[in-house]
Amino acid sequence: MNTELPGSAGRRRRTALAAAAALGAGAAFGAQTATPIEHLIVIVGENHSFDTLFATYAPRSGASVRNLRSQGIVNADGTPGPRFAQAVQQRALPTTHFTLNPPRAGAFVNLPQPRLTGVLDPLLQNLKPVTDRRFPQQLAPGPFPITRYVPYAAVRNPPTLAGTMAALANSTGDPVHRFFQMWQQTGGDNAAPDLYAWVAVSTGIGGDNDGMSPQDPQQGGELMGFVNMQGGDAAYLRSLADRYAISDNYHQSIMGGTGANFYALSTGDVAVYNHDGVLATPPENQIENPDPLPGTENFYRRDGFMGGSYVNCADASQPGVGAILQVLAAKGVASRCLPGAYYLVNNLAAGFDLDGHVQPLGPNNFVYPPQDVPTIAEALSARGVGWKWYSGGRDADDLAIDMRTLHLSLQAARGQQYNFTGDPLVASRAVMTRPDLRARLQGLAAFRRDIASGRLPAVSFVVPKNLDSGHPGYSVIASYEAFLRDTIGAVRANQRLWAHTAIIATADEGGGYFDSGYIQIVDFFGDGPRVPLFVISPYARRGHIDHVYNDHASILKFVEYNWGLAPLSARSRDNLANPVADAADPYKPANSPAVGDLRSLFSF
Amino acid sequence: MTAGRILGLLCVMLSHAAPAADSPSAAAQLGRLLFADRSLSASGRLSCASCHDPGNAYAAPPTATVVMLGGPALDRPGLRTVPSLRYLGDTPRFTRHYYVSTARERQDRGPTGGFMRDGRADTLRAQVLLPWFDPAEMANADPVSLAARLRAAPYRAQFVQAFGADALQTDAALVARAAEAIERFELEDPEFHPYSSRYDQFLAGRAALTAQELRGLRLFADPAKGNCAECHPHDSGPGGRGPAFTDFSYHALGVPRNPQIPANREIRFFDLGLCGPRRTDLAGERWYCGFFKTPTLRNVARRQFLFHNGRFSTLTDAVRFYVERDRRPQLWYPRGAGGPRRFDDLPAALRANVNRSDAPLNWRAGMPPALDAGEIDDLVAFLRTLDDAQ
Repeated sequence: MNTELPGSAGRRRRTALAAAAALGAGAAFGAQTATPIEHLIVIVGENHSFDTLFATYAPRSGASVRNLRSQGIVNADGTPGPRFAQAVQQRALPTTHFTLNPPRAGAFVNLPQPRLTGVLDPLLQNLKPVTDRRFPQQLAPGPFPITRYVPYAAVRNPPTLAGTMAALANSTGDPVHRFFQMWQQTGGDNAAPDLYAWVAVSTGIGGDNDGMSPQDPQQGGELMGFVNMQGGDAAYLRSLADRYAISDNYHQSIMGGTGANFYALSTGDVAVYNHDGVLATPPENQIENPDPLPGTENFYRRDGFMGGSYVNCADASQPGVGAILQVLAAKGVASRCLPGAYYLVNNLAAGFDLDGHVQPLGPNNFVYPPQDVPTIAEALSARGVGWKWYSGGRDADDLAIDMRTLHLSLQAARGQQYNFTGDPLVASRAVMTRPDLRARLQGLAAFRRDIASGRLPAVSFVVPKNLDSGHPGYSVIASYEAFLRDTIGAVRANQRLWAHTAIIATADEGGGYFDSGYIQIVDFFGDGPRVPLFVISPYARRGHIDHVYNDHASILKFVEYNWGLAPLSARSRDNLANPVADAADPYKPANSPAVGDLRSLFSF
Repeated sequence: MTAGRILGLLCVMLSHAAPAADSPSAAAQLGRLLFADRSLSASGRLSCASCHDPGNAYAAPPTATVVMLGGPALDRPGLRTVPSLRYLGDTPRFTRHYYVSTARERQDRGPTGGFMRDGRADTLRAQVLLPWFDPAEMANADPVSLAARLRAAPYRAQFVQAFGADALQTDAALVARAAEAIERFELEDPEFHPYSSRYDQFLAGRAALTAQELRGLRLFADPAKGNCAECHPHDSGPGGRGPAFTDFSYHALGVPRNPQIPANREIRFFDLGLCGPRRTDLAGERWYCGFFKTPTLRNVARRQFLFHNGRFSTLTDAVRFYVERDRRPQLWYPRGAGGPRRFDDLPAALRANVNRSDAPLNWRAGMPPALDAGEIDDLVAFLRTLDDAQ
């Protein structure tokens, strides 16, 4: 017998004073909630698209789902289905400038063989980015089941460092997931998802990274892989989908990777280059140029962690910008780009370190300046609503096991486990210069203590350690699954807490993995492909698969609805209206651009 | 000159294959004169080139002692060995945290960057000021006296050509422009980044390495053997830059104390690198004490004194030290009451800062040595391929 309670319909508004009395000083005070949810826990793992995880899922409830199996692209056993051609990958012809719709040059005969790029071995050593011979040379040129060749890792519950390290034997290569690549792969709306593989193998993660060259961008067909839920993979996540609610139309907010998507999750916006709050021009080598290098098929001129990261997207003459603005104009969508602003669309580290030191900028420093973009953190605090951002590896408590087991210094252990690109509040001047706000940035040991002691704040963001994140290469889905199981178990063990809690589990972005879902073009920056989203709560609509269009701003909208907050700024995405579903296609908002507020996943 | 132009030049200068498109700027030509001008020192006998010998890869001249003498009477010893000025163009600004996020890793690599062995100068032009005013080096008392020496020098016209007449107006401006000129010289002149070693020829497919050198290269890169490339990357960098053979990171290696450095005669004195004494802003951050910047290994075979304190003079000894530091500490450290006094160049309370996690410094009892004698020879043979053409 579990402790789940049915929705308490009569109690739409409850004072958080009552919650504070029940749960201790850490809870919200003076604020009211619009729903019975008094505690929201947002857990953000890494890098799996909806189809990577749910490719073959057949809902127990009989609800409809849009995945590779339901569209006939693959069969329940993961083999190519009757409509496999919809996802067959094409080559394209070289062009002189970045283009979203290059002329196709015919389908790949075989999928390029997957590579071991980014893979750590169980001793945490980097493998060479060579061909991953666990996969055959003759894969069909479309989606394929990873776990037919590399078994789904067995990670015990509760997870241990030794267990997550051992699971790395089952990890696979890290697909490219960067801004211009993803625009090119999806064309913006994913109407013809046939260039994922070509973009990956032709430009990879960009030449401005150590060891990258046009001759070998170090990518293969790993991005077309999925785990086979219907074949028994990810059984716990499947059980969550069966018992609670998921969305099959929830999207990463920004095309590309971790940094910009976490940033969007905390602000509904993007970071911008500035000097002390005044718009400025970044070092030239840090401005993106996705035009192809002459003599290459599609190898971007300047792109990579140590190269292009910013884009001045109000200026159509900037490399790569015109092609995207054209698509926006055709759809009548505003770009959200201010003249002269250089927006950060790829990963750099935050402008403060964890101790609050401002980090130096320069052509060889891969850091973005402190930000003044309003965050959900200040908005909650201003309203008197409690929040914390718990990030694995932030504190010494979290790292004791790593230091002991791996003989690492605190700094080296943190380097291994702390997700520095997924900690966006560290970039905020308002948070980092106010001790009362900065004190709310904590580690996972603190999270577990707050759960056990009933001091969990109203809103919690939770980011696992890197090895538990599910990110390919240095983690596996099974490790994120074990982390979720352990965390959800801890919340449920505190019955008073669980009764009024919703846990949202998602991924920051799809990791560059293939996804077949429609993408709504919201502005210059995204949306991007679908990512998994679970709502785990006594109030979740059981067995429901929600088709309402959502992205990371939907989490902000839910928080704002529940705790009575206004949108974070005049330009943030949480200003977008709730979708009115298109009569012909429930996945497309008729009133685009629009994103939901997640309420349709609950039954209150 | 705009930042964009400087950067553009940098790209031209540093891109591995491209020849310099522009001839040196007027500032760089002035910098060349300043670099070699002994009249800019209190002694009248010391120029930048005295310690950074253009004939020896801009490191200490072959006749050097472990630390150089300077000051008004050339009788004041320095504290650290002379680093080469080659291949500094891609140095990041000093930061406690240097983030990497490539296909192969995603890490905070810790303190990195800046100029001088403790990174206390943020830019080359700021670095130039340090020896000019160091009482144990060129020993100018203040900007006024240096400006007087600059005004007396025979290149007034070049100053005006490079920076305009305004450059001569105030002492502070004159000194700043002089430093900028030397920076331009160091960034623009191909002599500071020739990429002309046999290894560069090998990378370009224009020369072969011997079988022994190739074995050495493999040992250099192998994480389980030399693991040298962990901090001295041998691959091309972002945008196809030639490999710098340093990642500009800081470490405490536990190099034994060098009694030949006069300052070390005082037994209570310790040179703690990032923690001081020369650098002062990190003095309270004990976990960085003993950290010194990783130097480039290019031209390392030409250096007579290795590491910040010059404790080793041969490459074989330096490599053996990495391999046998913890296996046979008696080889390296002085005898004490309880056995060898390991990490004796750090106070006891700070010895935990010494790197014991990166191979081969992670040796534990029972493990075989990371490299045997023959492999050490192979590795040293490879290091000799990193000398730039003379």
